[in-house]
Amino acid sequence: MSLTISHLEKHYNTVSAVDNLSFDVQPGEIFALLGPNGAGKSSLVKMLVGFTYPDAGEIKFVDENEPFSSIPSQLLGYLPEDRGLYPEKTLKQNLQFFAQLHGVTNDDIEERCQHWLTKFSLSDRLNDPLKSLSKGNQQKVQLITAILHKPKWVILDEPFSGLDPINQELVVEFLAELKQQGMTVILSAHQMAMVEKLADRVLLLNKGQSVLYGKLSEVFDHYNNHVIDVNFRKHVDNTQLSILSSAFVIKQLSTSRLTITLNEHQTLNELLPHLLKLGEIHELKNQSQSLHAIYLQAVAEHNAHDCKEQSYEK
Amino acid sequence: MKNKNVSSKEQVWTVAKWEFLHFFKLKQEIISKLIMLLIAAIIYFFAASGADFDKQYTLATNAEQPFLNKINPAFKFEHVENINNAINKLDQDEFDGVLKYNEQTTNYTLVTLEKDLWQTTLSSQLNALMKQQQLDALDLNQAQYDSLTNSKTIEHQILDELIKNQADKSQTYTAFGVLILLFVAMFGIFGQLFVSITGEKQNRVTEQLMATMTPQTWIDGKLTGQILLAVKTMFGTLLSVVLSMLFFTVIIKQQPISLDFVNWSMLPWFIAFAISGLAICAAFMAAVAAGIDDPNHSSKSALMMLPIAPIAIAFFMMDAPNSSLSIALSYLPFTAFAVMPVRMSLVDLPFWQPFLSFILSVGCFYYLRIFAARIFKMGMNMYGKEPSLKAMWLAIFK
Repeated sequence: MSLTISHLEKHYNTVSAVDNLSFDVQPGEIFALLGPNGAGKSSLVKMLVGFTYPDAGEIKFVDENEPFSSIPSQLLGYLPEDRGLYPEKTLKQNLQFFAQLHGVTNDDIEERCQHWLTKFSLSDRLNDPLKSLSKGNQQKVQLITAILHKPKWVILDEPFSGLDPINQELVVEFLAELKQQGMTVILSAHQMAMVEKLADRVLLLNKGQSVLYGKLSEVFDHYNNHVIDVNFRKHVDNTQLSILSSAFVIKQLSTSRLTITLNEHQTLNELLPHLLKLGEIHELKNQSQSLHAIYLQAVAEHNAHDCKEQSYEK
Repeated sequence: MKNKNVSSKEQVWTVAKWEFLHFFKLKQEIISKLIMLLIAAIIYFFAASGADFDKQYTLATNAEQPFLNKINPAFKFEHVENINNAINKLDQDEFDGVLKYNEQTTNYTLVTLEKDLWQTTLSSQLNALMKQQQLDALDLNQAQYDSLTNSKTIEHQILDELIKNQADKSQTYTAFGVLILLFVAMFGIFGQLFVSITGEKQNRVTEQLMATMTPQTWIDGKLTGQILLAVKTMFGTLLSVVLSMLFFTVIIKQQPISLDFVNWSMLPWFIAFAISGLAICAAFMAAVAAGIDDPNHSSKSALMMLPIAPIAIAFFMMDAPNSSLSIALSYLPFTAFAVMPVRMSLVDLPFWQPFLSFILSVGCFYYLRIFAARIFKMGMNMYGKEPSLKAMWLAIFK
């Protein structure tokens, strides 16, 4: 079972929502789709679910050697960005209806409802109308609706939005349990702290294009190995600093503290002799960036690169 | 714990049950029938207590007419000399009423203190007796008497052998009876489909639904549920009509009920056409509702009423059941369900004609439900923008 996306494109009139996108999702992993508003995440999700079709490229989902152009509904659990169930019906009626549509037997429905509603502290509300619940709790019910049939693949569009920090943590636990049960989870989110805790791999989209793609650990390694934080015992030698500035990107934080960003061809070994010429080193460490900071940096770099390309075209 | 593989037919049935039970409330049905029974009991109570003929009503009169003795013995007449005095004493309960006769105008006036049901019975009996008295006064022979009492009507003979015997109205009554029931059911479908489809869009539940099944399965389930509801409405209304007739004829009038006006042999045909009509209209209404994004600001909702027009057309077709227009409309699926039963009740048709018309209707329904699903899918992906009629048209044939 695998999902491979190759050279995918989706355009709405003149706007390119998804632009030459290629990636794959491995079974059993939590795959996070990141990106600013309008980056193309929802357009991509709608194509994966089969609501819309790509203008070019291919979505190839293979299950038991059978290829599909989107994830088949019997294998899929989906939480849409536009949330909503039947507000007049009770929690039980809503959950039962969607589970029955997936062929879950009544005994299994009861058992699974009990399990998930207890996890979300909603077990005593089973016979209450959905509309009597708070927005956050309604969202939790919809999350349960999406996975009650134990799908192999789960796509969650913004599962953390509209939830308070306590409920966000509950959703993190929920997703971890899905992974434990062997489900593959694709989620789109803006809450980087949550994604950091959960995701195995990430794809950062900007303007429909892939900006960052890979294992979360690799992303951190890549960004954190490139920014070096150096503390000197005394003031640095300004003459040597100006020489060094011509070869490295240096940010001077104080008279004795620098941040140096290495490009992909530069190494710490190469930098070290130059640093010793500046003065006696007190402390040297890789700067640890959060996913949030990496996200901002990557999007900013992509936007700058995009502007540069546009000006070249002109 | 693996889920069973659910087929689209099972999903259609799950949606149909959901749709049916969303609008069918057993408690409300029982309450409405109990209210009907209560109303019937109240009517019966007033009818029984108002027409208390065990009691004898005494009336004062200044008339010396022997025909008064022929009136129901429940009414007793006492002759008085001073009629105005009797009127003044009505509040003393000596008399229940006064029958005042004016010798100059030969008119009778019934004076009572209050209004009651026995007064209507007495007035109608007096009117009948006075009419008889007038005829008797003319001293007519039997032939003259018969001529005056039996009115003549013109007999209409139609030479077209296909036109059925007009004396047997049972087929026409049955056809129009079914049409009226269809009309009631169709209004139900209109409201329910409108609320159901646009309501789901407003509640943002459609994307969640579409992740579990195809738009076609969803539309098929909705239509099945609505058709079942409409059939329930038709039979529920029929049951209420039959019970009301039974009540008024058997209990109130104490007469035997006759169902001679129902043509049982044609009834299955009419019911089959009614269900095909419900299906076509429901599919059309679903297609229109699927293209509505915001029911409060859409001008398309009026289009949903269009399928009711054929029922009105059917009433006009009654006068010319074999005209070219009638024949054409009896095959056109959007009008056949109403016009063909009316033609069948008035004209002797070979079996293949209604059969072909029915098959065309079924075919029309088959494609209309596909069109409805296509419009729905297109509307769902328009992110809150309502599709134009042109866009809907293009989506159908894409």
